[in-house]
Order: sequence, then structure tokens, then C-alpha cells
Amino acid sequence: MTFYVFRRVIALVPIFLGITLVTFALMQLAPGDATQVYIDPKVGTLDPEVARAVRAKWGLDAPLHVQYARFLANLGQGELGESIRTQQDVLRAVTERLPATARLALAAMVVSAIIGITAGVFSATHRGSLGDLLGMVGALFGISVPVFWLGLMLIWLVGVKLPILPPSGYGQGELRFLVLPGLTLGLALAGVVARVTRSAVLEVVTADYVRTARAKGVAERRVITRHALRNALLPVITILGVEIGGLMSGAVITETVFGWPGIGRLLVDAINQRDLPVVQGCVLLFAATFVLINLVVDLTYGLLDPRIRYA
Amino acid sequence: MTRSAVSAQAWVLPLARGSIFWTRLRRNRGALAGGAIVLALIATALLAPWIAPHDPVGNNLAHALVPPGRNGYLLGTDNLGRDLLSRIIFGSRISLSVGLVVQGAAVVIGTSFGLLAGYYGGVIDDLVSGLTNIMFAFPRFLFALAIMAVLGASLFNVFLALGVVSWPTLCRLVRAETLAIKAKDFVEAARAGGASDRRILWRHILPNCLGPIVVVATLGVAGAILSEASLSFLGLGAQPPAPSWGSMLSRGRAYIWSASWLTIFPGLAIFLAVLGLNLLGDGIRDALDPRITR
Repeated sequence: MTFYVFRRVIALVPIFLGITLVTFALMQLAPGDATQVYIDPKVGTLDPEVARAVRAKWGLDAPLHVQYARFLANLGQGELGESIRTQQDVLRAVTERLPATARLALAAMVVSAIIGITAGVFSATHRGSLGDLLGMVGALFGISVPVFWLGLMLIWLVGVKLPILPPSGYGQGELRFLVLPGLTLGLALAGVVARVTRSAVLEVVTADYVRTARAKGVAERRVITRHALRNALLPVITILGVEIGGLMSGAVITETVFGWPGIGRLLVDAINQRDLPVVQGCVLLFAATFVLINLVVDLTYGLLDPRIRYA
Repeated sequence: MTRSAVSAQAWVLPLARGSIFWTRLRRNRGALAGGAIVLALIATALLAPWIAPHDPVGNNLAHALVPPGRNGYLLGTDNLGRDLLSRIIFGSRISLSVGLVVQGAAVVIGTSFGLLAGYYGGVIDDLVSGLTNIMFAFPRFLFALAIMAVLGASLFNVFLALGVVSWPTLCRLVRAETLAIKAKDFVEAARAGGASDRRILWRHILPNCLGPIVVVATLGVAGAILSEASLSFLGLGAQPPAPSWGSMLSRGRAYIWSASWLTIFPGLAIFLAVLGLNLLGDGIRDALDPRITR
């Protein structure tokens, strides 16, 4: 088992290198370079002497592979650069906003898991009924609805019809501010979870060991919870891992709609202000987190299903 | 066994005119509804200049923020007096073109790479798989965002960014299908009959991949439309005064209490377009699924 873990962790190294390479290469594509910041808008261009000095200072005159090596070395020391706009350390800027995004992500996962798994199990166990149809129509609506529209509609509802929740903002971190953003992101993701759960449970419920349990006389409820659900949960865990990608992308949008002070909003603001070091830092962090969480999901899968480990 | 007999036997297109696929698709009411919505979307985009009642980009400040139904503005006007219905109709052109072009490019690139990687294996497969694995390490929308950050906001860059993040999915799919089909008897028979690699790929492997490709591409158009709307919402898509649905929503935000129609209707348009495509894609997938016995 430990060998399995070891193998998977080692496989991460080329992936991480690839992530840094792609991100670095992408940033090189930006028109202009750091010298742009020093251009006096009244003059319009930069004295070539000054430009050369600035490039030398930032190491931009070195060949690309040397720049990349320095980039990696900096990463290893946790040095992600400085924001062009605020001169704040990028890593500090990100870690300051991490808790807000984490709370939103957690709330959304809880909402999507509760709604999605319940709907999926219900649909599968009452296959062909009206409830099944409604559940799956709801799930389809969930995956088709634009997250930002859902958020805006909820804000509108709360502002006009149900003025008991704050329509946006973070406040001091009180729970009531988390309700709408968490609900928005959670509902959008619940659709995917519901569909995967339904098909997973359907596959399991027709399996032989379930028939055996029923034949033994086990109560239907127990058949579902003790026998079927455990095995059906495996692909659901996988989808929760894949959901992380949607969670991150959705968080960017949700945070923008609700004025939530998280990493997503940091990224969007940085993009609009062309603050590329911050963009680079956020992208690297998101990608690294995504890969790590998928690894954890894979390992959990291996933990729960012994067949995977020896494949 | 003659060559033509072998190739005739293998030319079993799941989407062919007489196959049971069309019967099953017709019976699926969701797919029919989805198909109708998609057709309506295409018609709207094609006929926009003729069916839009007003000019989508001309300012008319005298008629700013008119509620729906008044003055002949079916869905009301925005803060610059532009008719919302006309803007939504013209917006369908942006959304549909992004969806089709992005997925079209993804299909061409992804299928080519997937076929080559799956069929030839070896170094080609290592390179292609390595590249797709790295692409999959990034959440797709976030990577598109990063590309937009670097290249700047414009509709063309949206095509580029979304195209770049969309091809790996199809590549992985086609590669997996190619590996599965490569092992089948009729491929071996074709090779024994002297068929060249190119012939095998083109006449035997590719046709049998088409089903899953169509499903993924259809669902992919839905995803591309959603992504374009999201990028526009963040200010990174087609620039004003272009009537992109996402940017309409973004600008309507400021008026969410006073002129809620500005946020309700563009969002509804996005939702319906994506819903229709998802219904159609699901329907095609179910109609192709060999496990369903109905």
C-alpha cells in the first residue's frame, strides 16, 4: 500500500514541473515586459539606457531557460514575486484571502453533497417515478444554469422578496453572509453530483450481492445503506475530486458576484489591472491544489477499494 | 477475402441514415426539445438582422431603462436606450459562433492527436499524453482566464483561449477509443488485407469514434457558450458595444433593483441555449448507448 502511495507521489513531480513550465511560458507571451511599468505616460517611450538597466535589475536580459531556472529556484523558496500594483508579496496576498475562499468552497461542497447525493439516491431507488424525473430535470437545470446568473437571481430574490439575508459582501465573517454565495455555488454543482450518484447507485442496486441481501430478508432500507451505498459512493468520491475544478472556477465567478474577498476575486482584479505576477501566483496555486486534491481522492479511492491498489 | 468486402463490413457508422440511432433519438422527448431549442438558436443567429426589431448598438438615451412591454420594446431597454430583445438576438451570434468554432477546432485538433497517439503509440503517445496530462492539471476555466489575462480581452482571444483548453478532452477520448478499436478483429483483417495505416485510420477507426465525438462535441458547445458568457461577465470577452450575453448581465448588475429585466433576460437566454444543447447531447448519448435495451 505504501508503495502505491509512493508511486503516485513520485508521479506528481513531472506534473508539477509541467505546471510551472506552462505557467512560465504563458507569462512570457504577454506583450511588453516589466519595463512597461516605468514608462512615464506623458513621454510614451522609455530611454533605452533606463530600459536596459531595468531589465538587468530584474534579470530579464538572461536567456529564457536561465530565467526559468531562477523562477523554479524562487518557487522552491516560496517566493512568488510581488504585485505590480501594490508591491505586496504575492504569497502573502494569496494566503490572506485563502480562508474566505476555503469557507466558500467548503459551504458549496456541503450544499452540493447534501442536495446532490440525496437527489441522486432518491432518483435511483425510485427509478421511473415522477420524483426521478423531477430530480434529473433539476440536475440538468443545475448544470445548465450560469453560476453568475443564479447568484444574481438569488440576490434579486433576497433583495425584493426575502430581505432577511444580506445580498452580498463578507461582513465580519458571520454565517449569514455565507448563505447566498454558498447556496449559489452549491446548487450549481449539485446537478453534477446528483447525476453521477444516480447512475452509480443504479449500477450497484442491480448487482448480485444486493440481490443476495434482499433474498436473505434484509430490510430494504438496510440493503441500501449498508450494502449498496458504500459501493455506490466510490464514483461519487471521484466526482467530488473532479468537482474541485468546477469549485475553483465557480468560486472565481461567485466571489465576483457577491463581492467575496477571496482568491478568486484577487485573480479577477489582477487580470483587470494586468498585474501579472499575481495572476501567475494564483494560477500556480490553483493548479497545484487541484493536482494535490486529485491525488488525495485517488489515494482515498485506493484505500476504500482494495481492488484498485493491486491493479 | 477481397479488400472491398473487409472494408464494407467495417463501415458501420452508428449515425448512418438507417440505423436504429435515429429511431431512438426521435423517441426521446428531452432530446427533441433540446433539438428544437438548438434549431431555434441557430435560426436566431442566422436571421438576426431580419428578426431584430431595433438596432442592437445604437444609443437612444431618450428611451433609457424602459420596462418590458412599453413603447414597443418587448423586453425593455438598457441604460443607453438599446432594445434588449435585439441585443439578445444579436448576442446569439456571438455565443453560437464561439461554441461552434471552439468545439470545431477542438474536434479537429483533439481527434488528430488522439488518433495518432492511440494508433502509433510509442514516442508519439508519450508526447501527446504528457501534454494532455499537464493540460488536465489546470482547471479549464481558470487556465482560459490566465490566457485572457496574458493576451488581453477580445473576442478573438476568447476563441483562442477556449480552443486551447478544449482540445485535450477530445484527444483523450479519441485516444481511448482508438486503442479499443485497434484491438478489434476487423482492423486486423484490414491490415492483413494490405490496407495502409492511413486507410485503416480513416475508414475503420475514425468512423467508429464518431458517436462519442458527437456527444462530447455537443456537450462541449454548451460548455463553450457558458465559458464565453462567464468570460464576458468578467469583462474579458467581446468588448462593448458588442451585445455579448455575459457582458449584458455584467452591466445589468448595477440596475438589478431598478431594472431587473436587464439581468433576467440575458441570463435566461444563456440558460436556454445551454439547456437545449445539454438535452440534445444527453439524448444522442442515450441513443448511442448499447446497454439500453428499449
